[in-house]
Amino acid sequence: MTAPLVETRNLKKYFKTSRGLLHAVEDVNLQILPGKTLGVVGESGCGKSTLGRTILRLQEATDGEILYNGENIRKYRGKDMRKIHLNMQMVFQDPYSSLDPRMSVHDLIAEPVAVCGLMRNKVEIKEHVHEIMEMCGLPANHSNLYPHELDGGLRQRVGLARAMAVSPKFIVCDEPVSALDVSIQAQILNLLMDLQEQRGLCYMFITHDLCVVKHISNEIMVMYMGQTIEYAPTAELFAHPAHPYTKALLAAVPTIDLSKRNQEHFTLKGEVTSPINPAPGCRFAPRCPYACDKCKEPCQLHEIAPGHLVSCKLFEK
Amino acid sequence: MARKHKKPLSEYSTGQLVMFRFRKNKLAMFGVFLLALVFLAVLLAPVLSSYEAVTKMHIRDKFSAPNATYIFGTDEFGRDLFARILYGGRISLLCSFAIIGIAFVIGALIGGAAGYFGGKVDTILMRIVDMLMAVPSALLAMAIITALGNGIWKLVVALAISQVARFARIVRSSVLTLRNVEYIEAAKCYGCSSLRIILKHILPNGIGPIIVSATLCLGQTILSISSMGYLGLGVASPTPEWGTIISENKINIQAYPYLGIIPGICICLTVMAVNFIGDGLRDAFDPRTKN
Repeated sequence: MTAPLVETRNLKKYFKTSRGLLHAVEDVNLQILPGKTLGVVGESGCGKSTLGRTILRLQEATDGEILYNGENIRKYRGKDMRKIHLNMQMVFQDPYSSLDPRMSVHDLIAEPVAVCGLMRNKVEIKEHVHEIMEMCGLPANHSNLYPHELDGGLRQRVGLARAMAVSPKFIVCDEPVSALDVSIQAQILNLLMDLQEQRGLCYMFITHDLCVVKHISNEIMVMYMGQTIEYAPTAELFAHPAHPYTKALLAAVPTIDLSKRNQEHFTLKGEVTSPINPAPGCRFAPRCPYACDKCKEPCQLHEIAPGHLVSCKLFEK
Repeated sequence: MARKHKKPLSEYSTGQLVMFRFRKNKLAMFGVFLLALVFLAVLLAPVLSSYEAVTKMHIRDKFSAPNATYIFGTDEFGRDLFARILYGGRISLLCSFAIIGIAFVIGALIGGAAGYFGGKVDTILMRIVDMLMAVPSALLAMAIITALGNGIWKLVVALAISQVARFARIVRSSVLTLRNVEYIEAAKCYGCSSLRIILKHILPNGIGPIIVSATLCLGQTILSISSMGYLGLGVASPTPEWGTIISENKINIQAYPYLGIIPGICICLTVMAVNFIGDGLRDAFDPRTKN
């Protein structure tokens, strides 16, 4: 079995607030193999973006380990971290606010290369930028345009090109298509998958769109209030969702299947409870139709099928 | 745009494009023209008039309205207003630009650091700024001059310090709005140093309100130099300075309005010119402005 490229062990990220500790990410263990994609799904505010940012160390983790190629990068500082950043990059959600409006497309893509000291020669950088632009489907004559002159899809390509400029092996995609319309979404997703095929990239794909995640991921992690509640290969998860929350999520995906038209939907009641100083047990219990007294005890992930992990008392023996 | 050779826009460098946009802005070019005129006049003061004329009193010709001998007229001691304004402009312009420059640099450093690093750095720096703000700036400047001793350069330092708080606040608020923007995070992600992020990403994007307030501040600074002079600190009569000229003539302004109007126009024109230039620069640096 190949060793995972990116791995986290009991990763925690808490935020201090005036009312107590906000548990944004709690004990997340994930493994991403080289060339594979992990989809992270969950509703807004469940900590999926925080998880991505914490792995890239844009935010300092509270506890736990982040392993890249088997090395814990949480202790890395300055130069070492810069080296790691050559391998780990991020694509942001909003293609409007993620590009500096004062920089041309060329400058945007060239900056990471210059900052990382990969190349010093201006001509060399220019050639490299053109290569990257071509790879990301950006016409060469766009290199002197500014972000405001581009549409959403092209902007997101620039965002991707900027991440690709330092030839990373792992990219955190933080909802890269949710701000785009559907036809452009497909283009960007296909581009991401092409790049993965050509370069053996490894993605962590954060999204709330299950159709997108089904299309692109090898494995899926479902998060609820900072915790992993289900972790399974994509086909397995869509075929046999185990956790009641996952079931509700899948049931909420709109369908065009007319035979299911009058079927009763499995919908969730209530709101997400506060992630500040949460009670020990299952965090989904207050909204769960199957909740019982056992749910107040701490819950662990259990393997119910090969590679399929669920954190729910229903599956504990 | 007035481009002689019709190259496609994409062949110009960013700096060239900024120049094009700036030159296309008529108001800004007018500002440049005005400021150049003022600077030229002030620099050529020894050619246009002699330094002796600044303090030489022609008692018989006192309060003569602008005429062929005295272009700008004379004051209550019969001193030539034209010479006084030319030589006074040297002090006014030099000091006010120096004051704004110093205040801007120190303010930007304090405000930038406070906004960018946040947390304890922010709290400590901003409480110091609050302390500076709690004291009226004129009083603060007076206190500093009293401590340092009298003199034009000490006046510059004192007034600069009294303006630091204002710039620190403006820069901090600009930085705060930009600090959590995604392109800053992206820059951190590829290993940009804090200094580079502040200089290359935050400053160019947050410079708009800072330039505007700096240019507006200039006029106020010219006047505060004179109010300090009026209190006998820094530039004192008979050394001319635009603000001082107004304040030493203020009793006679009602009867001889040109004594107030002419130096007033000089201050106005300078402030206006700097304002136009500032506005033009802000627009020229923004690539969203049409070429």
